This record gives sequence, structure tokens and C-alpha cells, in this order.
Amino acid sequence: MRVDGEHRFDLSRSVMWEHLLNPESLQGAIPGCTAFEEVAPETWELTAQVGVGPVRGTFTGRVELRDREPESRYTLIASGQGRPGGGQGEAVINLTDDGDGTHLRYEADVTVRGAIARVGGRLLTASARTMARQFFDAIEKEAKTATERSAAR
Amino acid sequence: MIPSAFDYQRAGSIAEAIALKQGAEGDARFIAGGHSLIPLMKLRLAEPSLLIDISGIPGLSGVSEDGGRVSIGALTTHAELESDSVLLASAPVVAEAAGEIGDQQVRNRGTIGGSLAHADPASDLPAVVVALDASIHIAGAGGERTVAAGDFFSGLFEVDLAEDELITSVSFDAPSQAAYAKLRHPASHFAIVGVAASLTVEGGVCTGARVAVTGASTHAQRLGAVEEALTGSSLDDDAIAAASAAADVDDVNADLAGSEEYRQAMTRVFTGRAIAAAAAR
Repeated sequence: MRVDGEHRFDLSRSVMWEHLLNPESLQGAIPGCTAFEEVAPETWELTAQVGVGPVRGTFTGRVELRDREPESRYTLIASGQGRPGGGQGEAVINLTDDGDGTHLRYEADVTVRGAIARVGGRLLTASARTMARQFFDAIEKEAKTATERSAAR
Repeated sequence: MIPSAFDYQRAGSIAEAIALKQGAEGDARFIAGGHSLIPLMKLRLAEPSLLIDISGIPGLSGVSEDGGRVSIGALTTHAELESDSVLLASAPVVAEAAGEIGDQQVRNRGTIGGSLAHADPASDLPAVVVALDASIHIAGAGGERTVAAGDFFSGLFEVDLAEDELITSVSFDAPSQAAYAKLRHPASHFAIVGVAASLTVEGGVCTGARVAVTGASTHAQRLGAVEEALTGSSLDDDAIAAASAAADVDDVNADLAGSEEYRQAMTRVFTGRAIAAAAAR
């Protein structure tokens, strides 16, 4: 399944770049993330509580960041497994300037399996987009908090 | 098809239901008709530890009208809405939309409060209550409050309702002319696209319009550009065609039942049909 979408951040491209690839910010922005451990260069294993609406579950997974072109583009490879099913995906993320802010565009190829895949067809794309939006909103919040903290110092 | 183990408690009043929810450990859910929650539990996509059954709470069911204001109790089933004499006289759009939901078994059990709180992106009633500018009445630990339907739905299964709150009723002014038009999924009868239109017409001119769509995107929402185009128009075929052409939705859903482009196109088609049906009332 292909999922694509866009998001606008108020913060500049250099700030967003830093936080989108920063393990601490990632851990803070992933919903219900309880474990986040670097297991190889640029590769982390994590446990997160993920869900949309009435469907919620604890997932363990792995995230890998690749093909970095500073401040403009990277590839995120993720896989996860939980009780309602599992999935994996590869997303290419592009950043461009948008006034004072940043415009992010993602294109992902996602496969899912298990109960989610069997019955979720009607809502998979919308759920994936909703989770992406939740993640981007959260990471911008992380970035804003960090920026304010360093400004106050 | 067998759910995980869960506890079950029956609440005899709103206060008891809220107290049970607040005192619960783990994932407690309210259940009324259960026709959205139980299928998810049987697939183990939802595994609540406790179900708090609110279906027996007295006073939360039925339709009444007072001075042109219609009130529907949250536990009123779709089947009751479909055949209610007050609705058929004062707000037939609600009965019409309720009759389009699922199958007879779903309509016999499913409730208006449950449908709105669950907020499936393809459920019918959210579009209707948004178009009717209904008030959603909510009770919770912090007391009672009322939210405008247009502000209630905010995203995919996202509504303005806290964990320890439940919907008690829905109220709205009886519309002068309103209708619902739906392209239904052939198997599930969910709305691939559903549009509700409520019009105020004076002397052959549309002086007010509220049009809302469900199924097309993450949640039921108004079609602002359509409403603007209708207001001041004579509601003839050309005006309806022009207004429905202005229908535009962000984040359009795509699945086996229809691509983004198809849903956008059907949103325009069914917007036109809903407006024409409302204008003819």
C-alpha cells in the first residue's frame, strides 16, 4: 500500500532536520514509546503503544534511518509486530523551505499483515496518515520545547 | 472470533457509569448497542479489560419535541429513529439516514450516541447532525456540557469526548428542508460517500444552507464552499450543479471501494442529490 502526505512545520529546515533524526526527539514523539535503544549505527529497537480510535496495541519494532542528504532528504525504514498484526514500510522524506517554516513530503510503501491487514483495508490509509500527523505534530512540539530550553539558557 | 477475557458491569445510572469508568483499572469501555465495539473485540483488534454496559440506564432513550426543538436520547436505536413519528413529521432526514445504516440487526441494536461517540469515518449520522447544527449533550465527572456537532468531530475516530464522559442526548431545531443522499458500500452498507443538506428557503431563494459529508475523509465535516454557493441562489438545476461542483474535501479516503478521485467525484454527485432532495421537500 502506498501512503503519501504532506506536513508543514513552523520551524526552519535546519531545526526540523536535527530533530527528525535525533533519537531523543524521536523517542519523545513516538506515541507511548517505552523503550528506545540503539542496536546498530542509525538503527533503533523500540516498544510503542500505537493506535487509532478503538484499535490500540503495543508494538515492538525497529527503525532505521538511511540515505541522508543533510537538511533535504532521508529514508526511514520501519518494521513492527504486535498482537493485532504487524507491518513494515519504507518512507522517503523530503524537506523544503516554506517561508519561515518547513514543508515535509513523505512517500511510503507499507505492507501490513495479521488482523490489521485482514479487516483494516477500509481504514488503513487514513489510519497511517493520522499516525503520521500525530508523529509530526509531536516532533514539532519536541523541537519547540528544545529550542525554547536552549534559548532560555 | 472469540474475544479476549473481559469483565462486565451494568450501570444503572449515568453517575454509576462514570464512577465505574473512573474506578476501573486497565482499558474500560462503555458499551451500548455494541455493534461497532464487539466486532472489533471478536477480531481482537480491541481488547478492553472491562465493559460498562450503559444500555439499561433509564431516561436516555426516545425522541421528543418541544417548541420546534427536537431531542433524541443517546440510547435511541437506529431502528427507533427510522420509524419515530416525531422525526418523520419534524426531521425526516434523521429517520431517512438511520434507515440506511447497516442491516436490520445493526439498526435494532446500534444507538445514535454510540455511533457519534465511535465516529467511524464512514458512519451516516455524523453528517446529519453536523448539517442540522445539532448540539451534543455530554455528561462526565466534571458535570454536564454541550458541544456543537460541527466542533465535535475532529479526526479519524477523534471526537471531543473525554475517557470518563458519555453522550446523553442530541438536540437540534427541526429543519425546514433537509435530506440525506448516500452511496452505500454494497456489502457493509457503510457510506462510501454520504451527504446531508439542510436548507432554509424564503420566497424561492435559499437564505441559509448547511451541507456536511461523511465517508469521504477522516471525519464528518461541512462543505463550506457549497454552502456559500447555495446561499442567495434560487436552487434551480444550474445553481445546484454549480454548488455541488464546489464540493472539495481534504485527506480523501481511498480503499477497495473507491480511489481518492472516485470519492471526490462521488462527493460532488451526492452533494447535488442531497441538495436537490432537500430543495424538493
